[in-house]
Amino acid sequence: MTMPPDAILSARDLRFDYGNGQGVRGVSFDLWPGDVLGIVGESGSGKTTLLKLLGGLLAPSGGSLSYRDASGELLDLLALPEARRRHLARTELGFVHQNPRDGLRLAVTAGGNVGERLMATGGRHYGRIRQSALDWLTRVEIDGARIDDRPTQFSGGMQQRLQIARNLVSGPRLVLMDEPTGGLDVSVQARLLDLLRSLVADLGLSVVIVTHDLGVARLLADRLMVMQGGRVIEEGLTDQVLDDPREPYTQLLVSSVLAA
Amino acid sequence: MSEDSGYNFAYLDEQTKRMIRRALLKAVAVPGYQVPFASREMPLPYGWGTGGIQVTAAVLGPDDTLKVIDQGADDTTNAVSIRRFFAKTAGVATTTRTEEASVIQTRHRIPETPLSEKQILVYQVPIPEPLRWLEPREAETRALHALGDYGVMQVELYEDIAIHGKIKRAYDYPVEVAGRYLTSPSPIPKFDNPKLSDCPALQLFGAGREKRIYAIPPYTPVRSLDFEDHPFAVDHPGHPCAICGDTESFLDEIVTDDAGGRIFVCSDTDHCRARQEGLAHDDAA
Amino acid sequence: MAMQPILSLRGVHKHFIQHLRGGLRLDVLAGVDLDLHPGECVVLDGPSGVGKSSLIKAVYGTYRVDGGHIVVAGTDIAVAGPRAIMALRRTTIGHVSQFLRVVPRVAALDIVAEPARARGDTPEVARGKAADLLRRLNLPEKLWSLPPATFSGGEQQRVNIARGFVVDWPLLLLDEPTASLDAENAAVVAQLIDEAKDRGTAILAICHDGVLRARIATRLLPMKRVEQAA
Repeated sequence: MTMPPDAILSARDLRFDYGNGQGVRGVSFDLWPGDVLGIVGESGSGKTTLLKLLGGLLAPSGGSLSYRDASGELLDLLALPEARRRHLARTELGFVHQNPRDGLRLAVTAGGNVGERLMATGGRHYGRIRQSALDWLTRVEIDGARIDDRPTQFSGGMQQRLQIARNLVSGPRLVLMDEPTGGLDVSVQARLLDLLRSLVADLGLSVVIVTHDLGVARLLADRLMVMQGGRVIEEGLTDQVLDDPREPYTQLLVSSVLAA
Repeated sequence: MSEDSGYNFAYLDEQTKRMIRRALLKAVAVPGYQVPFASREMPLPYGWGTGGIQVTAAVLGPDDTLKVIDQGADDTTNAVSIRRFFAKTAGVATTTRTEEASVIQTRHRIPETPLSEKQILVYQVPIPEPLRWLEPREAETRALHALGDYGVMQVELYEDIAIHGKIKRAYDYPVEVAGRYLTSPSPIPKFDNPKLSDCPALQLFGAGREKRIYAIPPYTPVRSLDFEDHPFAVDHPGHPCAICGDTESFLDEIVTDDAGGRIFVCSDTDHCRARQEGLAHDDAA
Repeated sequence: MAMQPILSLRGVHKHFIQHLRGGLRLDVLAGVDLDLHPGECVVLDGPSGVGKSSLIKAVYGTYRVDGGHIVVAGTDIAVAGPRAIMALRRTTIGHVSQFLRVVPRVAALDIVAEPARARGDTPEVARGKAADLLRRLNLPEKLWSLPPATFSGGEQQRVNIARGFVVDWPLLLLDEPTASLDAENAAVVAQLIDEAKDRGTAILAICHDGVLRARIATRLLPMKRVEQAA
């Protein structure tokens, strides 16, 4: 397939069928280093399914998915051997689940959760692993004194920040986020959004973020894809899509929110 | 048929023994890898050593001398029963002396006496999967083994240090066999872990309920997992044996009265006996 | 003028189709032409509803046009992809809108410094530039470290203006920059505009304040309400 030489991720005609008519019906896009792509749409539009296809949590029924790794090698993600795929998933990639409980080990301390990627990639020095965990807890604004507490003792917002630290500790290049602020109180959301915004900018991450919240999309995303019925019906710069929506569905979506 | 028992030699039929031997050969060829096998019903409950007994039955020959220990002792119910079982169904010689035995079936210990190339040590294993408590899905643990993906085990050790200040796990301490497979040494004390490595004897592991066999061939390097700054270390009991005075062996704590009195004695009863005889001999000389 | 225009508009058309109102078509720009050169300030002239803000948004790439060309520094925004427009916004086009889009929890100083950082300044240099501008615009220093969400309209607008002037943009778009400012601060803005023109910045502005307009405009671009298509 054709991938722009400077892109980090390229999807072509990705498809997935749940067997009930829902799913993803041919989605193509390119993502560049430092690019934040928002995917918006209603429940059932296929946006979370698309994210799972990108993250390897679901295997597509068709299409192609290419990734250019840190060394510049072009990888066919759909044909990658399992060992290589897993290694990639815990080094260069991140996946932030909507429910932090799906992305954390609840029986393991905060420090263990953050340190896992380091240990999974050969980290064998307890002191250094712990220091990294401490640094990352601080960066996501969790008190270092909580390093030996379990996530079950954390609030929802803290759990979500812990999940983010757990992903970012390995220095990923591409992070996929599924409604990262969903299910949180509004004030907690604002804090998390600001944190995500500054981390993404400071680390130069490429991000694909799924959200139904156009305010979140406005704040975080450079570009948007609007999905409906498993297809991308409109895409462009975030302000283009939100301030000059062209498709009937996008106009409905934008007009349904208060001051996005 | 052994003449007086009415059973095939060593209880199991020959087809079953061949099936188990095939699994054993594979286990020896891939050190530390858990080989599935068609575990049979045995005349004792799961958890009493059905895996070890099947492995012993498959390797035992008429000329072998069998020793059975449970927690290091030759005289506990389980050890006595299994020793009698094979004396009856195979008619083999039995012994309690480590150096006389050609096959030693064990639960929870490795003998103190160094083993030789002529010996086979058969372990009874309740839970062969070292990742089981971390990852309940069998398909996933197999994938983790296939990929050598053992970070999660390290997380478990990290948790010990974070919460207890050191790796607290005192038995069934996970090991890496021949630089490849993460393996459960069975519930032996971590005191025994160093004896697993570079051992002249063949070490076979049988898990009857879980239907798995694995092996550590002679002279295979076995590494206990640890951190660079928290290296694996054996805890010494800090007492001599109250009977033979040994300061090196693994000790059992025995409560002697209702007033909190207790003594520490060798867990390996044969080792303790040999030392006592040696001491008596020295005294006589 | 001999210099190449930094912005060149040719036959720019824009209409909206409002699907939620039965497909109602609203024409807002029809055949707009303009060449804007470095150092010039062109003020869009006409009553409300003639498409002045729409033209500014079209040049910034927010409104996708339906015909014509909008060439900025060699890139035709009318057909450019998102990445090309993002690059222009980072390097070439500055935009001061009527209202500050408040980002939660980010200090006023950092909001102002952000475009300079995006163009490669170190945090210290960018903050230094931001502090100079906020000082000139008389924003009390005790507010600099606070997020502007709780600021008054005038204070927010001064943060917005400072953010627009923190970088020497080749092309700067101003949409009513002084609408909520007092005379003193409006005069500062006029000064900032003069200095930018002297440095060669080309400015396209909407400005209803007659005094300010007379001071900053090199020339006016008259705009008329578009005849609605049948």
